[in-house]
Amino acid sequence: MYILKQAFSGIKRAGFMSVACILITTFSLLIFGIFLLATANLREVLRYAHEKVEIVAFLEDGITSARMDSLEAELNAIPFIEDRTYVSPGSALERLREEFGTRSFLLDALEENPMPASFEITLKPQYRLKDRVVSVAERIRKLPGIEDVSYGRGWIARLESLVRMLALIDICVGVVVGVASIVTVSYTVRLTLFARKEHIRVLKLVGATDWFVMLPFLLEGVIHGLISVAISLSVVYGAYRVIEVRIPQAVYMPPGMILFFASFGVISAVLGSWVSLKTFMRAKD
Amino acid sequence: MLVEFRNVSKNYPSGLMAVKGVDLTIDRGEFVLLVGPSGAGKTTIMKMIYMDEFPSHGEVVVGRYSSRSVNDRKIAMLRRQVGVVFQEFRLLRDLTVFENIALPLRAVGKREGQIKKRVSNVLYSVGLSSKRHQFPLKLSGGEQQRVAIARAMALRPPILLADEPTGNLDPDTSEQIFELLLDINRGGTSVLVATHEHDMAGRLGKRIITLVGGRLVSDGDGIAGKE
Repeated sequence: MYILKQAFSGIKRAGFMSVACILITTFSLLIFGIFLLATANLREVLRYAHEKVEIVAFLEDGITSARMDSLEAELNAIPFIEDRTYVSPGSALERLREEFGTRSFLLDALEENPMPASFEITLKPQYRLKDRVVSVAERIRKLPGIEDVSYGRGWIARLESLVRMLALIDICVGVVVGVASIVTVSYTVRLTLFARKEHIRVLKLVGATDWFVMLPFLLEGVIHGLISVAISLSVVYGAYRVIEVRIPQAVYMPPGMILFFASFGVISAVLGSWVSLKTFMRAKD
Repeated sequence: MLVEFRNVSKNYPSGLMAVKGVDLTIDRGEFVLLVGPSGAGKTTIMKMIYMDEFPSHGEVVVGRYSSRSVNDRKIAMLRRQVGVVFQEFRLLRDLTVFENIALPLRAVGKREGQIKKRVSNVLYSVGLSSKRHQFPLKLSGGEQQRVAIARAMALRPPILLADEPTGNLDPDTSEQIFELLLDINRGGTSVLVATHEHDMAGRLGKRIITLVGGRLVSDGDGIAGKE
């Protein structure tokens, strides 16, 4: 109770500096939060894209029904496959007509159906990553009776590298924001420490341990951190709601990311207090 | 033996040698006066007892704590056994008399009920029960020093150090403060008072250690040595 009282009185005492510290930390966290929100959304896009990943295996013309049966058995033996649909040349042409829409009359000029029969293959969710798709597709390509395979190799790779790049940017922004929070909080706590120099000195003279002296200041860092996290999370949520109106598929940070963000904000603020305290406690008056 | 100095010297980085080859002991229940002019090394001796300073040579032992083996935590524990009073009182102005005295009790984790009881008792013993809700700056110098003594005695330490406790007080108030220190000593607490008031020290008829230029020049009952 005494320690909590001291922590709040420290914040009150620092007054304007406390407000400035909370604002700067909030602003830094806000930038980080926006990057995290963007990452969460790009990951969602990637997840959606992975759901849509499929391998189309085109069959050789005139494949015998015996070959077709053994091909089906071989596809059944591949454990990564979740589902497969046989598309006959007729169905394929029909789909093409639908895609051509009003210009489907162009297809009337064809004397025979040029579309090959195919299997549309969906992989189990955990195998829809680029490398796995490539390896399964190449395995299918080698099966007798398969003419060719197609899959969205290029765009999956591009999307995955984009997510990787954003994760890297998140780390860089995180480091900058972390350092900014540590410096800001440490500066504010240092002012409180100097204002309370005599109090600390007396506490140490009467037998207080370093922990007893330091706890209110660490708690002050926690309070700064919590307030900054709460404000920045609210603002990021507000931004998400605005975006959601235009892009209904947009998502907010998932709970794990919110927890990481909150811990990050609080821990960097506590580290700020810690840096000042260690310097202050080592210095002799 | 409560306090023991074994061939202690103290050099400061500035080159000043504040204490030179001092050997001394203070037993439980003793009242000792440390006299000498300014710069004689009295405050350094005091600081070495509550381990705010450490010997450059030799060893200081206080109870079971040695200057050679203490760490931060042990120093905190030692200071719970050593009450300290200063010339400038060192009371916290933004805390009431009650809160100032409660500080050491809070530092050792006493419960609120125990704190109230103990503070009331100490305040009564220094005659300031009625001033518990006052802030230090509303009190006279003598009263402030009584509060400082009450704070130093809150944890009932076996030894009380008073560094020039009457330096800022008029003669009458000084006499009252010495009376209070003698009372505390009669209760069984060892008391070490650093003072430059030789006359007062001589009148008390207690053990007097005289320091000059960092050296211990005399140690005996009721005799202040030459400066």
